[in-house]
Amino acid sequence: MSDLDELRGFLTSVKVSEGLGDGLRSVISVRTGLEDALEGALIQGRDVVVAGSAGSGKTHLLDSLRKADLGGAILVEWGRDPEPTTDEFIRVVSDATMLRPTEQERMFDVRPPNCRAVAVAINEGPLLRLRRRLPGSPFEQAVKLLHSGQSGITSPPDASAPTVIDAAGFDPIADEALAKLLEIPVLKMLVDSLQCGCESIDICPRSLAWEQLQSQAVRGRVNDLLSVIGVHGQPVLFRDLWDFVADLVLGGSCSAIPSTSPWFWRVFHGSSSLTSRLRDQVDPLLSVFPRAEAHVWHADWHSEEIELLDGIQLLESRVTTLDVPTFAWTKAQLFFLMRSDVLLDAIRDEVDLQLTEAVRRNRPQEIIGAINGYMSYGTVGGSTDLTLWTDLRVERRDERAHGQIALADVPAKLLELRRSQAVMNHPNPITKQDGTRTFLVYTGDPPSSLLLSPATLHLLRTGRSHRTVDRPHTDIEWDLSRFFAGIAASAAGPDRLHVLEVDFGEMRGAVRHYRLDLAAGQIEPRGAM
Amino acid sequence: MGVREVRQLLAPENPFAIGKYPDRLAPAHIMNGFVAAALGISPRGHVVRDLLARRSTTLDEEARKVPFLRRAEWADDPDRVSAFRSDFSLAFNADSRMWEKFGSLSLVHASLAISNPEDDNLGRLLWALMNRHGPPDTTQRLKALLSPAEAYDPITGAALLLVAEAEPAAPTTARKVDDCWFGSSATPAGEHLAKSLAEFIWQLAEPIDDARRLQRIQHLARGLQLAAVLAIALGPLTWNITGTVSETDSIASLVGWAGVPPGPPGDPMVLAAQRSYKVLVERMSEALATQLEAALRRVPLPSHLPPSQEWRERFLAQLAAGGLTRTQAEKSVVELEKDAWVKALVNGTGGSYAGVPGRIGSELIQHGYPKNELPYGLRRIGRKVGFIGPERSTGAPRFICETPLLGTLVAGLCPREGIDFEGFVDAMRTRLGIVFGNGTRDDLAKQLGLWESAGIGHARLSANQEALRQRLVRSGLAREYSDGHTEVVHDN
Repeated sequence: MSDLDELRGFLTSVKVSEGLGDGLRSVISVRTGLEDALEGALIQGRDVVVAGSAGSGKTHLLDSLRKADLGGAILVEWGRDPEPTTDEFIRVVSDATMLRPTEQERMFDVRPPNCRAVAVAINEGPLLRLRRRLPGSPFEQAVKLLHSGQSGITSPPDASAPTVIDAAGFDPIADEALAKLLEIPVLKMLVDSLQCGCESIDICPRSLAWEQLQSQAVRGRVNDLLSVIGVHGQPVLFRDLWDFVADLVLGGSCSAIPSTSPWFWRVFHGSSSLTSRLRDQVDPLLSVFPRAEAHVWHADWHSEEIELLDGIQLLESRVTTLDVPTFAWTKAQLFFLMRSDVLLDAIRDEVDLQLTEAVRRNRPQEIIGAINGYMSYGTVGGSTDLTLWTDLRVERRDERAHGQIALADVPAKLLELRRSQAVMNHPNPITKQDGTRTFLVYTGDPPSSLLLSPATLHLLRTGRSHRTVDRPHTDIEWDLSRFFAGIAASAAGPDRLHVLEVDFGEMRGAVRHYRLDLAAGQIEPRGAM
Repeated sequence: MGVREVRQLLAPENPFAIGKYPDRLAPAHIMNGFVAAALGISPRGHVVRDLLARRSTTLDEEARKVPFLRRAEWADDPDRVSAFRSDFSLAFNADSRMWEKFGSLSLVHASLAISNPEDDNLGRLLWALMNRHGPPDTTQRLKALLSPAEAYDPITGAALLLVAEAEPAAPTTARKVDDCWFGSSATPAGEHLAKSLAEFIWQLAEPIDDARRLQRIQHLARGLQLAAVLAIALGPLTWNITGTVSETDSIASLVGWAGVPPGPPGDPMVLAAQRSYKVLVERMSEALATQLEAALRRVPLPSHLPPSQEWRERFLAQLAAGGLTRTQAEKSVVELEKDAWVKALVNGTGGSYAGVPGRIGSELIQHGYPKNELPYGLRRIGRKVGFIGPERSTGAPRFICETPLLGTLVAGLCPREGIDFEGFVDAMRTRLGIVFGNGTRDDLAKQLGLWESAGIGHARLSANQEALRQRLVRSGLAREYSDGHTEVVHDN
C-alpha cells in the first residue's frame, strides 16, 4: 500500500495512529510541547502518568520517546520486553487500560534499582478505580494532581509524586497544532491525487484552494479561528483535529455550484464535530470589509480595495457574477485571505468580546469588577476587591431577595486568571502547558476556582435579573455561590458584616457596614458607603 | 367539610397530608418546626422575630433582652435602629417568611427556632421520623451544625450575638411515632421509605467548621422540604404494599425531566414526566381513600352500639387516634356533617354509601380536596425547592430538578469519596424514588410503562440521563473524564 493510500485509509477511519506504518507515522507527526515535558521528567528520574482518552494522543506521545535522547537509558515496554539487569532503563506502559486490574496495580512496583523511571499511559476511568483501590498510591497522587490542574489550581511541587500529563486537557490549538498539521506536504499530495471528477488539478477548486494553505499566515488564521472553540471551554482532542483535517481534505464536491470541496468552505460548512461547534459561534458573513464589499459583490477582482495577504490568489478570479450563495462562499474565503483581521467581528453575539479580551490579556480586575457588578445588580461599583455577596434564600420565589450579605471582601491580589494545566508536578517548575479552560482562581488555602466559560462571561456582562424567570441566571448564581463559599471557607471572618439593600423599583443599592465584636458582645453600625 | 377535617381523619395513618394552604408551606417553616422538635425552643427566637419584624424605630423592653442591644448607644438612634432591622432581616429573614407575630426566621442558629403552625406540623413529623429511623447520633449532629460555639463568618457571628445569654432551649420529647403511620413497623414499604428519608436528611446535617456551614444549612432546609413532598406523595402508597421493599421506586417512580427546567412543551420526556406526576397523584388519592375507609371500618365498636350510631363512633374514634380530644373530635364531626351525605351517615338516617365498598373513603378525599387541590397542592409545595414545575404558566405539572436542588441531592446522597454517575442515578431511584435515567437498570423503562415500547423508553431515559450528567458537570457537581467516565463529587 502506498503512503497516500495509507493516509487516505487513516483519514477515513477512526484515526488510531498505532495502525500506521512507521514511515507515514513519522511524516504526519507534529511535535507539541508535551514531548519535551515527558522527556524532561523521565530524564530527571520522575515517574510520569499520561492520562487521557483514546484519541487524545497519549500513546502517540509515549511513542515519541523512541526517538528521544533519554540520557542513555533504554526504553522497555513492560510485560513485553525483558527488563535489563544492569543497564539503566525506563519502564514504559503504553496502554495500561488494556491490562488486567492486578497488573495495573503493579506498574510502579517491583522496580529494580536500574529502573530510572516509569511512564504509564492510562485512561482516566481506570486511573480513578486504581485510586479508590489503592489509597496513598501514585494513582491517588496522580488523580489529585490531574483534578487540580484541570481546575487551574497549581499544587506545590512534590518529588514523591509522579509528573502528570493530561493529554486530553492539552490545548493543541494554542500550540498551533492545526497550523502544523495543515502544513504537512503529504496532505497536499493527497488533495492533488484525488479523483474528484475535475479534468485537471489546474481547474480543481479543491486543489487550487489548498494552494492557499501554503501560506503560513493563512494557516495561522485557521488555527486562530479554532481558538474560539477553545474559549468555550471544551477540550479539543487530536482526534478532533484529524477529523477536521480529514473533512477539509476529502469532504465536499467539486461539481457542486458553488463547489463545496474547498477547505475554506468546509471550515464553516463541513461535517466534522469541530465545524458544527464553530458554526454556532462564528459566521463569516458577519465579517465586513467596508471598502472592498461592493467590489466583491460586483466581481471586480482587480480592484485595489480587495487587499489580500501576500502571495495569495482568490479562486473567484474566474467568477464573473455573484449570487447570494456565491457571495457567502466568497466571504468564507475572504475571511482568511484579506489583509484585515476580522476574526472578532465575525463572532456571534453570545460571546462578550470585552470580557473575553480581558481573559485573553490576563486582566483579572475586569472580571472581578464584572462579578461585583453582577451580584449587586449593577447598583454598586468601584471596589477593587471581590465582594462575596451571598444570597441566603432557600425558597424559590418569583423575585430574588432585595439584598444580600457579604461573607468577605477578597483583595484582588489573591485572585488570578489561570488556564487549566496539561502538565502537573514537573521536576522543572517552569515547565508548563496550558489547557483549554480559563478560571478565576482564589489562591488562598484551600483554593477555589470559577470556570470562565463564554456563557458565564456573557451573562456577567448582560447583568443579573431580579426576576427568577430569567432562567440562565439560576446556574451562574449557583456557580458564583459555590465559588464564594469555597473562598469564604478560608477568607471569611466573623468581625465585619456588610449588607447590600437593593431597591428594584429605582435600581439603587445601598451598602451598610457593621463591626462585630464577639468577645465583647457588641455590634457597631459603621454607616453606609 | 374542609381539608382540615379530612386531614384530621387521615392523621393516624397518613399524617403527612396536604393542608389547607399548601402555598404557605415553605422550607423556612419546616426547618423551624424540625429544629424546634429536635433541639427544643428558646424564647430568644420570638424575641428576635419581634425585634426584626417590627416596623417601629425604637426598641422595646423585649428587644433589650438581647445583650448587645442593651449595651449599644446606637440603639437609641431611630435611624440606626431602622437600618439595623432592615439589614438584619436580609440575613435572618432571607426567605421573607417572617412577620411580627408569626412566621419563621431563616435558621442560622438553633436558638432562633420558633415553633409555629405554618409548617402544618410537617417539621415535627419529619423529626419524629428521624428520631425513629435516623442513626443514633442525629441529635448530636444537628446540634453541631446548628449550635456552633464559634463563628467563621459574619452571619454566624451575628447569630451568636443575637442568641447570646439566651435561655436554653426547652427540652422537648419527640412525638411518639404511632404504630400505624407509614414510618412505623406496620408496613415494610413504609419502614423502607422512612429509613431512606431519614438517611438522606442525616447526611445533609453533616456539621462543618467554616463558612460553608451556611450552604450546608441551605441544603438541609431544601432537603427537608423535599422529604416532606416525598412523604406526602409516597407515604400513602406504602400501605398497599405487603412485601419487603428494598428500593423506593418499588413504591412509586417519580420520573422527572432532567434537562434545564421546566423543559420544552411537547418534548417526549417532558410528557413522560407529566404523565408520571399525574399517575402518582391519582395513585396517592386512591391510596388515601382506601386507607381512610379501611381505618374507619377497622374501628372496634362496642357490641351494644345501635347501628344508627356506628359511623359517628367510627369518626370520633378515628379523630381521637389522630390526637384530638373528645370535644375537638365532636367539633370536627359537626364540620364533617355539613355535607349532607356525611350527616346521613353519622345520624344513621341514610347509609347508602356505607354499602358500597370504597365509596366513603373516596367521597371524603374528593370533598376534602375538591377539584385539583391534590395535584396543585403538591405542585405548590414541590415548586418551592424546584422539584415540581413549571413554577408559573398553565403547563401541566411535572417533576424537574432545579440546580440548587441538584446540589442538595448530591449533598444528601453522594458518599464522601464520590460515586460513579450511574451509581448516583441509581441512588436517586432506590433511595428517593426519583428517576432521571436508566442508571444500571436496562429493564427500567419496561417497569415504568410510560412509553409505547420498552426500547423507546430506554432511549428516552438514556437521553434524559445524559442531560442530567451534563448539568451535573456544568454545575461542578460531577467531574467528567476524557474517556466518558463521570464521577459525582461530594460538595465540600
